[in-house]
Amino acid sequence: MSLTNFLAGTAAGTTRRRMPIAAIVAGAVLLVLLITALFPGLLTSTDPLATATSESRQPPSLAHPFGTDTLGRDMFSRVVYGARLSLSFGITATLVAVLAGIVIGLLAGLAPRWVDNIVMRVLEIALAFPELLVALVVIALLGPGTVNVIIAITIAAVPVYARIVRVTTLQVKGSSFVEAATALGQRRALVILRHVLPNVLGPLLVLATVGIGTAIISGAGLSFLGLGPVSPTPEWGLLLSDGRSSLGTAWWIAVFPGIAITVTVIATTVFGRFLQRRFEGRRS
Amino acid sequence: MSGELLSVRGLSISFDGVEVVHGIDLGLAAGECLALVGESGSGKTVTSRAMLGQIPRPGLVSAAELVVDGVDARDLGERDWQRLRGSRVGLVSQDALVSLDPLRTIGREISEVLEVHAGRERGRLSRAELGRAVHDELVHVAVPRPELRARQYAHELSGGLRQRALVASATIAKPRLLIADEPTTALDLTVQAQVLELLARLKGEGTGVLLISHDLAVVARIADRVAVMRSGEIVEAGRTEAVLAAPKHEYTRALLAATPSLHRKGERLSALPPLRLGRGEPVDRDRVVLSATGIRQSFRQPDGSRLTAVDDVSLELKAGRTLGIVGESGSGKTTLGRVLLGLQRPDGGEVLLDGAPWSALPERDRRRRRGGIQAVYQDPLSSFDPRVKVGAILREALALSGVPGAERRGRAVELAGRVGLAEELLGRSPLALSGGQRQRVAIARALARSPRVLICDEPVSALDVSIQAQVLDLFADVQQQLGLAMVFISHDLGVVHHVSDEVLVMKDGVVVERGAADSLFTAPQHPYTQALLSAVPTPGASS
Repeated sequence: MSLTNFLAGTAAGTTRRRMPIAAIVAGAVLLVLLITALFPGLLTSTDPLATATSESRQPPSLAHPFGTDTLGRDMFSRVVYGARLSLSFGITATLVAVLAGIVIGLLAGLAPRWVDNIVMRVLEIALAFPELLVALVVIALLGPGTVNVIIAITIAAVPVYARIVRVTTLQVKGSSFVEAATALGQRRALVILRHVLPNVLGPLLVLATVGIGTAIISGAGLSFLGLGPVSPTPEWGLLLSDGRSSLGTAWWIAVFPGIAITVTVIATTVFGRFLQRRFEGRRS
Repeated sequence: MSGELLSVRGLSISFDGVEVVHGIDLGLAAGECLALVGESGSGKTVTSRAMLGQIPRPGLVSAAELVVDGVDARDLGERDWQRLRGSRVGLVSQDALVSLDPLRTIGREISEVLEVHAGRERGRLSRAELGRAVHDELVHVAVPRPELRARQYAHELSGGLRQRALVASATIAKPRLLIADEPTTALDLTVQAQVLELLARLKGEGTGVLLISHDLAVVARIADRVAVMRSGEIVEAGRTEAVLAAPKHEYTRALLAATPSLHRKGERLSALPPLRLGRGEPVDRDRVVLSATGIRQSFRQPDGSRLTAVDDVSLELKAGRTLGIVGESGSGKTTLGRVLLGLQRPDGGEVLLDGAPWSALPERDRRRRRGGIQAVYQDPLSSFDPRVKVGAILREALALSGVPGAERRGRAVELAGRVGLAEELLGRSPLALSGGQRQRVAIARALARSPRVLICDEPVSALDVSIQAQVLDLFADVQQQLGLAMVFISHDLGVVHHVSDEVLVMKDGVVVERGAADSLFTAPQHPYTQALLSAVPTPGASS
């Protein structure tokens, strides 16, 4: 299957559907963001931490496309360098949460009913609170800091993934092909590894793509509240918080990090939804 | 051909420039039943939909003549069709559960048709009038306790009642033409007989019935005339008795030949030559390979009560023999199959494999011996992991039999060849295979473990007759050459009679009769077996 066919959601030889322009744009944006996070030096040569009091609060210009902040630091460079931390909040937290979700969900789905019941009640209690609130409680217990923010978002996101893994596990566990593998004499661990897990992963990865966006917002939110990294580290939430007080006089300090967050979240969501549609189309 | 209700000449239907139906001539008079017979993909359903104006885009219909109940239907718009559907042409489709709206009561569902059409002609009907009409129609289609049924939802009704409710919704506006598309396919034998009887009665009352079916035996029961379709064309048409007794076209002959009940037991059903599977070790046909004593299995129902699915069933299977298990849905035959396979631990009783404990073992110990007993299921597709290719399916089974990694690829090709699968199919997903090919893959997978016992649960129910014939022949080859013992579970008495040496008849979890296949089918003792046998439609025995 060629890439265009894959994107258009069709197998080779069948009638072509409309190309998903939104998904392609979103994918391109994500690619640029990823490059930005990995090699910020490619996009800007200015040091994000270099202060220049003489150039304080400059509006956007050719020299400073996003303007400068109160200490005269180049906002463009700060937003570019901020991508790494902000994205890694989202990606690391989601990755760890997905892994934990797989373990917990599989255990709950395959374990005796009483274990399943206990795990599910705990997860349901966690799910009853908004993710950000759970994260705040975790921060309150662990104290602020970059690593703790990641831990907090991870813990807050686990229940969602664990639940979906459990439900798909139960579905797959009851399906005829798992029974057929058992009847064939396959070992239980291998049945799970070869037949249950891969079939659980599909829907989960789709959900995780959308989840990265949410996790980025949570991370930026916690930083905004001053619970994550501290100044002068460039991080979008923190930048937003720094610029908040001068929104009336120097709008660019807050607006550009805000746009960065918004664009990232929209791009992940659009791309995630696209994957979801592709995936569901393939299953039916 | 012309007829009072339906007169079609030169009907062709094409999709995207590809003709799927070509040059169809049909005619139907009042009080007559015409059957369109063919296997899946023959174009019989799409032909019938042209008479309802329900050809989906981008389908194109062209005909020299297409007259439906006196109306020239060639250039009707959607609004004209709406007026015709329900009031002059009724449709009964195969699956009543999906055809009836799950969120509405049966009464609402049936009355809607009347509301739409009567409303158009005579103004709105009152609630009471509608209720009375629904009640009368339910009585008409022989639904017991119509007041209760009208208030129930589709899922609360049994398959037979549901199908009758669907017939009622098709007939309430008194159409003169009724199109019945596989109306009995999903039903149990005894229920199927009742629905056919209902259709025959409607026919007797003057309704013209266009019956679409893959099953010649069903057709023989009520159709006056038959048209056999293949690849979008009618290959043979004529009076039912004439066509069944002396088929002129080779395809009709092949279809009839594939029907097990028209053959002597054990005769080959398909034209395919026997496959060479290689000789298994000679078997002692008196040795018991699988036995079960006093198997009891019950399930907890949602309301807390327990449903006994299998009640005190004992059986014995000897090497190289076939034991048939017959029963309608809910008789417990599938549960029994699962218990025999060791997938379900029975509440009571014990299963022995090769004389050694089987059902009582913990799964860990049972796993080592699973190679000796394998299964083939009704729906092979769902028994394969959807992500895995055919080759990998076979290699997994070979790996479990201890075939070293380097040899698996070659052995998989060999195995596929033995069951008549071409090598290039190994690279395909099971999704891309036909029903018959999928079942061959399932059989190959089972054979990969060199079993001594094969449990087959409805292995041919989802297949067309000609494919069914090939698969049944394959089972026969497998058994004769490899000396396998088989448990063959099916609702189809013709098939069970054909393959089995011995037969158990199950009803509500209990074995009501058992015996050698020939004596049981020729001289059934139990009233239930007698009822089942009398409900079997056989081609050639027209009403």
